[in-house]
Amino acid sequence: MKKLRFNNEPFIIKNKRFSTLDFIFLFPYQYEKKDMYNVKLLKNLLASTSKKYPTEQGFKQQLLKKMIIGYNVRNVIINKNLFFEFSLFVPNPNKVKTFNLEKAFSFFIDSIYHPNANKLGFNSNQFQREKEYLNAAINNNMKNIYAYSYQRFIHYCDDIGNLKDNIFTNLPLLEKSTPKGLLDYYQKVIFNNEPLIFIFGDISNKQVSDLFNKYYPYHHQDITIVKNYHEFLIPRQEYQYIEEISHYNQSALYFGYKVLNMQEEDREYLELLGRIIDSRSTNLLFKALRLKNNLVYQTGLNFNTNHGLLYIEAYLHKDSKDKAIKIIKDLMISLNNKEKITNYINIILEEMEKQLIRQKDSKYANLNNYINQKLQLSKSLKDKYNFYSHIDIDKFISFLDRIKLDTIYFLRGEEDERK
Amino acid sequence: MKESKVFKLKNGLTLLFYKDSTKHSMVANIIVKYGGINNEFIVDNQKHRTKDGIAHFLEHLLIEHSIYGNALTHFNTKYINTNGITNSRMTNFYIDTVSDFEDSLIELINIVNIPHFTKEDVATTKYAIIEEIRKNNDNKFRNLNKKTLSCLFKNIKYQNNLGTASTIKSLTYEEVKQCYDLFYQPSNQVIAICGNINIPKLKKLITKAYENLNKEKIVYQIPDFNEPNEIVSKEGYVTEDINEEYVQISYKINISALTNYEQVKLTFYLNYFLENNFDESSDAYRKLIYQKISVHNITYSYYVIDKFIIVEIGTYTNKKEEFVNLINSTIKNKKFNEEFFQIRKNRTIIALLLREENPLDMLLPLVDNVIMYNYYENDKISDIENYTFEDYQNLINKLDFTNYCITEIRKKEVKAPKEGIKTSSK
Repeated sequence: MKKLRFNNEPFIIKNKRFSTLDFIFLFPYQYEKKDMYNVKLLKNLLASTSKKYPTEQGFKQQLLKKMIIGYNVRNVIINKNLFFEFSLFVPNPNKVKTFNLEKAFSFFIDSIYHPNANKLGFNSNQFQREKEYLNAAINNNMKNIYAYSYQRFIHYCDDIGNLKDNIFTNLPLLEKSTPKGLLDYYQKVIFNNEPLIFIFGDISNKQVSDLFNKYYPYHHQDITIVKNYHEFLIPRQEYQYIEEISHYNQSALYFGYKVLNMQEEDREYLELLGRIIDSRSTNLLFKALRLKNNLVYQTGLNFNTNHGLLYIEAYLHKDSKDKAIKIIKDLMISLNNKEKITNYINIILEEMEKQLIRQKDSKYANLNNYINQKLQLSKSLKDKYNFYSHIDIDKFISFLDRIKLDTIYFLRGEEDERK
Repeated sequence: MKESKVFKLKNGLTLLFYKDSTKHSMVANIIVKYGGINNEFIVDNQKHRTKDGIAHFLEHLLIEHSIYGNALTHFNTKYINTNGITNSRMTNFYIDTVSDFEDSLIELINIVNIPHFTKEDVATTKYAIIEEIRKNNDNKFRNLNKKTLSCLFKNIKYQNNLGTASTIKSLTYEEVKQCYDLFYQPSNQVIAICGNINIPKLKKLITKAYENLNKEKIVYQIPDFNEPNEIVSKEGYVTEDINEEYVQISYKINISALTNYEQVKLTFYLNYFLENNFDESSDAYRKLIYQKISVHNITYSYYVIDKFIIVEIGTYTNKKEEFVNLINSTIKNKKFNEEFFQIRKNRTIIALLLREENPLDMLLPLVDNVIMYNYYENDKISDIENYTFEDYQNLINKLDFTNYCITEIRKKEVKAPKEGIKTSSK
């Protein structure tokens, strides 16, 4: 298993073009299914309260008074890897003289390290409320055709459980969460853990070191991430077709494709295949389903390279199903053509050249590319461009032979024209 | 270099420019002041009423059947982002590109101004729109919105931008063309452009392009809705398959006594007022949580229809009465806090500074000011600096919150779907 090694000294990404500063603290941790709700509860509690400001009202007032533009807590789960991210987004004090960076930064550190908890656990009233909120939000979301149909699709398509074992499908585990259990979890993943630190904006090394010496003194620590991002789904020998009935107006059609004997290098190929089918410049899926055949208003394609899954979703009238299935199957077959593929890759490359120019205007492209590359989460657009530029077309065509249709899921919408 | 310019051409076309020479992307919007709400007009003293959804239908028709074929495909093959958007007040066609800007702008002008569609195209365009309507019928909040509008308005028969499947199915070429000829006149258009642009050159280019169009001028008026301040019904509901019930209070407030500038200023003040009284820092939110009325936030928003600003405040709750009392008492006993007024004012100044980082963030609020409030100026830091606590209180106190309706999404019992039937095939 590959290990990534870092230390906890901040990475400073200097950029003078913007009037803001971003501080990002990223806590890496190994994810376990039993804690899936603790991840969410912790995120919500740490984003809205602290020991010093124990009510949401008081906490929010402090964000306003300290002129903090954004304080966010979010988590990214990639297979067994979990990243807890705390971010502080503030004006640059060199440009906004009334802003006090020290006050904002000390509030940020205090919010991470002094939550509203005692040795018995997180504040029980707030814990209970967050639990109820999470339960309600999940159930509300599952009434939406998009969330519901996707969960049903992966229920059938994912045999391993990495995708379908999620917060939508394990609600009894939420009931088992306790304030003390959450505190123990917090201590493991945050308090006794070391973050990777990224700072973005027009700030000097001295400013950073003064700020950290005062509010977050260094104690040099090594950070090791066990890079365990991938667990590829295995295609079944014969694809399955599943149909279910719903009360929605629209029907949802999903096509799930997996890769036979998927290897690490196939991840880039899978992404390229997704781009060929559904990028703005090629638009093969939209052209086939909407422009040529008028079957859909919109359609989409997603790929999950960590699990080796590419899926197409289309929302359409129930009577259009058979025609849409044939069109999608034909489209996939039509790709097995060297001349066509060469042409599509050239189109994708030209599109990426424009995107690379466009990225120069984007504040977060630099920052995200930097973090993604450090953590090896994904390659930058430039790296992908270079990879596609030198691609071996024959190798890519042979990869296409290993793309296997695994699941067709159809959620039939029985209600129509009701309003 | 950053600069903003506004021009009005002889043909009535308005041009809005924001130049930022540090950027690489250039964006052009052609905005036609024709939206879902415009379904009545007067020509030769005769009043006409059109079917709902024609503005949105025309957006699709012009894009999908332009002189260059399908405009999405046309621009996408040149790696240019493009689309159209229709709301209650306007239809917007845009391109967003890092190359070939001037030629593409002329093409966009031609797409909007040279109608190329046929009777057959009108028929073809209906399919995708009916799918879009079906998609929207699955949106519970859109259905709540329709109900709310029917409770609020007596004479404004506007329910949504898309129309219904049956009105779209019955549309004829003649109906659509009549609306096109009327509403797509240059005097009813605004072109808004931002990025690293040459303003004098573009102004000249656009002027010439419109001269070449040589469009016939048709005189028309939009009749006054004569909408009363009072609402139609106090309560309404829709039933949906939901997990929790949702309650919303919608206030209908006549703002026609305010000047255009005051209306723009009101949007800032209303934000301060709603945030101060209903966001997580507010007493109302604290009560909502402690009295266990809801575990969710209070959502609040506002929009303008005709001479009214509609303020909507809602949450998921099964304690309707308690929620309505909480909101109404908060509105009645308006709280003004000078410290937080100053804080929010400072935050607005920072937000305006940050707008300058993205040209589109500078341009779009200007478009809003022009289209929604007929105010041809950008929001300026100097204006915000002049806002005073007394003025804020006075303006908010002028608003009449007495006309409101309560609308709900109630639970509908729906049978749980059965496990699907699996088949394997090859």
